[in-house]
Amino acid sequence: MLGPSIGSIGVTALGALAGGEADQTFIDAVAPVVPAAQRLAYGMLQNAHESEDAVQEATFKAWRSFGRLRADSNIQGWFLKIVANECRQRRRNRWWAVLKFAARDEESPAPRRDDDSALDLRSAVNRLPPEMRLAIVLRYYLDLPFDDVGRVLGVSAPAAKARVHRALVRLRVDVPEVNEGA
Amino acid sequence: MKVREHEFREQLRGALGEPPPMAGPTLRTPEVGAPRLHPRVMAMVAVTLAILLVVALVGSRLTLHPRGNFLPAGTPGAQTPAAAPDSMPCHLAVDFIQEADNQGGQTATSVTGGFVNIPSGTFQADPSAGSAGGTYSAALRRWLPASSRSLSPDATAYAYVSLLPAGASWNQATGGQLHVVDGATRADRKVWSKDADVEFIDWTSAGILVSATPFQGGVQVLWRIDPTTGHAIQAPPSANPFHFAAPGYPGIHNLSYLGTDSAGQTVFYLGSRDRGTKYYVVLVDASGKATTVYSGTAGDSTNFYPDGFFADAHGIWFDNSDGSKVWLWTQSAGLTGFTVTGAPPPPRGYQFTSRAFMPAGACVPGQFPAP
Repeated sequence: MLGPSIGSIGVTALGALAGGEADQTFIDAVAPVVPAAQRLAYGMLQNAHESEDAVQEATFKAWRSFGRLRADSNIQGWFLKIVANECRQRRRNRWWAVLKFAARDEESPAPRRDDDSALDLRSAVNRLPPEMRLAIVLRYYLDLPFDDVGRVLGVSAPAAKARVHRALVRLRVDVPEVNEGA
Repeated sequence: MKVREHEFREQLRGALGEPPPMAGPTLRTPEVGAPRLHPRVMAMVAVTLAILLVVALVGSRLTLHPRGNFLPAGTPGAQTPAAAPDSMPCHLAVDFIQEADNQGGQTATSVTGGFVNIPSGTFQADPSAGSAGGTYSAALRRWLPASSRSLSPDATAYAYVSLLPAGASWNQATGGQLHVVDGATRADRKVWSKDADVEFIDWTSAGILVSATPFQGGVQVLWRIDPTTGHAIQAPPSANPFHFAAPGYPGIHNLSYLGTDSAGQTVFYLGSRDRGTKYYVVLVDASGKATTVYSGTAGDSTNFYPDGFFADAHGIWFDNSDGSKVWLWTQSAGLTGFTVTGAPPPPRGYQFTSRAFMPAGACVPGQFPAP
């Protein structure tokens, strides 16, 4: 599902984290989730540099709060939630967005479809409120089950399904599987 | 459009594209990953001064009384100075920010510095703002290449942080250095440095607040620095304005930090934008006391959805994320909305544009351009 190149790069770099001073437990816990975190950030921000920065910042925040995490916590949900918050913060801060976009217009666009229907869908997803956009990205860009979508959103699985359903309605997309019980 | 889940998944992936290879997160990996352009460098993008045009007289004088949309005041308590009776009409410095999604998928962003005349709401670009906007110093009558947070309380200087050694990328850096630039003379003064990753936070009457985090990871320490002497004292973690600790807002799981003004007042947006959900815009003063600027339901008729603000003698000015208005909030009168007209047209060839008039300075008495 996830690009192998992204996975290997992310895990390798995190493994080099801070040399001997790193908390190996933190590395072991977070490294497997980095590819999903990068994918989530890219789905939300649509800019590779911005996504790198968001995951970087989220990793710092996760590092600092790792000691307070309960042993039985779901690491993926916890870390993706931090990444999602970071992305949300960045999208809301227009001033920094301006600075970053202005600095990085040399960036080559990621490969993607540019026919009318793809462009329409991309624009429509961009217009979604952040919580709906996050739900759509988690479900359809990261392939997460509703249980895991709910963990990141901080809601139950049925509530996550309902949120995805509302986002699909906003996108004028009718997905029968989600309509059932939403 | 009726599609199966797997079909929609493929459509979405086609539309958003696959993520390109990215460097993984590190706390310190000088050997790993390509050097990154540090975003703070862009804070130093110079505003090019252009020719100041003297333009023709504009229409008749506007009424001295605002004629925006009035809403009830929020919870009393915030220390917002009342506007002087003769302070209207005025012209509010704004950055008109326009983001457009183009055919190739890249987001094209433009910034136009200018003024929104209050109360009429007409926008006029200011040629002297250059092509990057910035923050307008009413004291200097000049646009400065800085965000409003980095402006000194008297609006005559701004601060930024550079990496050490000079010219280093983030992956090579061994420290950070705080600079203060005189807005009038552009003299750049090195004020303080630390062998850590230094992040500028805000500049209030209490000094310049920065965070310093060891490059190798570890505990983040806050420092309050005297901009004149460079004397630094450690600040408690509670000094970090990003943390929202006010009780009395139940059921809120999301918050966004909108900024801190020179008096140490911080504004948060609490809640989501999901239609029908409760949200609050809350002002927290330097003592930690919270005041509700607005409480509403996402999608309600007020449509108050700010991304940023600027506080001046009138009160607190907010943008609206759809670019339709600017808002003035005062403790006594609550929110007043001013519908903005005269925005530059959206660029052609884009299917989606997003625009906002972000307050970028005080509302200066009189109209712009001056008659």
